[in-house]
Amino acid sequence: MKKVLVICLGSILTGLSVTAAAQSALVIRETVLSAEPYAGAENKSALPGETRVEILERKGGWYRVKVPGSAQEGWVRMASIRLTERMVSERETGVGSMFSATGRSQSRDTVATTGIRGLSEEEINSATPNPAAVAVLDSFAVNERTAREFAAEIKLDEPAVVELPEEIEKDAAR
Amino acid sequence: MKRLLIICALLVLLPGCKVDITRLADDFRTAKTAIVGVDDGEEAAIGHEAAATLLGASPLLADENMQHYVNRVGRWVTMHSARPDIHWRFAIIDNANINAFAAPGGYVFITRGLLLQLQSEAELAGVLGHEIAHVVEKHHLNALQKDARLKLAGRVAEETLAQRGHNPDQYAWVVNGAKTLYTRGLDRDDEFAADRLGVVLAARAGYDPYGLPSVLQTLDSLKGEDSRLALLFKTHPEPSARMDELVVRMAGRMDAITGKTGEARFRQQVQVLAKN
Repeated sequence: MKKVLVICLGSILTGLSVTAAAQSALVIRETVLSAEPYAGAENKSALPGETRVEILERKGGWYRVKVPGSAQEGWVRMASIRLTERMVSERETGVGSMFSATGRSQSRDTVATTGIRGLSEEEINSATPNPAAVAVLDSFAVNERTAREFAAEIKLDEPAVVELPEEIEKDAAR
Repeated sequence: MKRLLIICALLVLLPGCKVDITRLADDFRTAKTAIVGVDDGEEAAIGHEAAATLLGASPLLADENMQHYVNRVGRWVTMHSARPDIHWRFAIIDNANINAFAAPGGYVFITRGLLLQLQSEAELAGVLGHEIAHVVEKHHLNALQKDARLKLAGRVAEETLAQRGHNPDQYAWVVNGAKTLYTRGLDRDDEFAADRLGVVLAARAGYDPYGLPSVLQTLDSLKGEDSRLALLFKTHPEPSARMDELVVRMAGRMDAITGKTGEARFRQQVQVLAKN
């Protein structure tokens, strides 16, 4: 039992440290490296398409990236890069290992032995409705006051935000 | 009133010779739903059937803390929507597939598989915002109504097949409609609309508006090799297309809104879960 705990703890710690490591990505098309994360900021240099970069941080719709083994560093728009798969699988070991370390046989078995069972097209089509489970989830409901207190814990503001338009002018903000 | 008369006329014209009261009542409800529309109470009942169908395919995650956490985030986001007062409920489905679902009346589901791909509370708020938008805009309800209308039209032909098994459950017709919806998906335009509104709802709730685009970027990087995404990809436009549609509209409009990522609290929740 102790051994299991040690293994679990180990996987949590490893997971966390891996997640904290730099995340890599690929520049989709030729992209300008900006000095600041906003349109019209000074351009530092340009990166050709397919350049491999490391993501240092994100601010709004921008990533600060650096090119490994070079001094090139700056901000690029979110839409101009693609995350690479390596990073995502690392990410999964991060949070995912913590979930599977809960020791809940239900969760663990689903992952380990049955894989993606349960919500495939066939399985939804052959499902028998389970109203008892809906009654359980009804008990999770939260009232407004609780939600408000929860928001205040991390000081979430309530800014006025206009809706995004359905139609846009072509080439806008690209 | 006129529409009710039309329904009655339709029912009388159905060529069933035997009068089956249950059948007649069921036809009437289907017809009423299809033509007259539904009020909030009926929407909740329809949503209940749809939710029960999904939970018939996969169970709830047996972790109350995590369920309550997702409900707090979700409820806060709904308070910034056009329907803050319906009975909102959120749930984590214990499944490795990467997906999220909504059902009429205020039901929102996220799979454990998708939750594990998220990095922050802002990303969670973005995903829930998208599903909340489906409920606010009544995308599933409208699609189910359309389905009911087709069913009604098909009934005349079907009736000639004579004594068929009949389910007396009032909303039984919803189950098949929901199965079709969840496996075939909504209209693409409904998905893009839910993305746009989802981002706005999360931003109004004080979160970093780029949470949802960030999730879509993660999904894009998983595509191709991952069977856990098969249903989501089948029922939604490409994640990269969805992200492009969003960021082109967000640039210039959302730049001044920073919002919180809530990353620390998100990670803390996950750690609490790990300790239990």
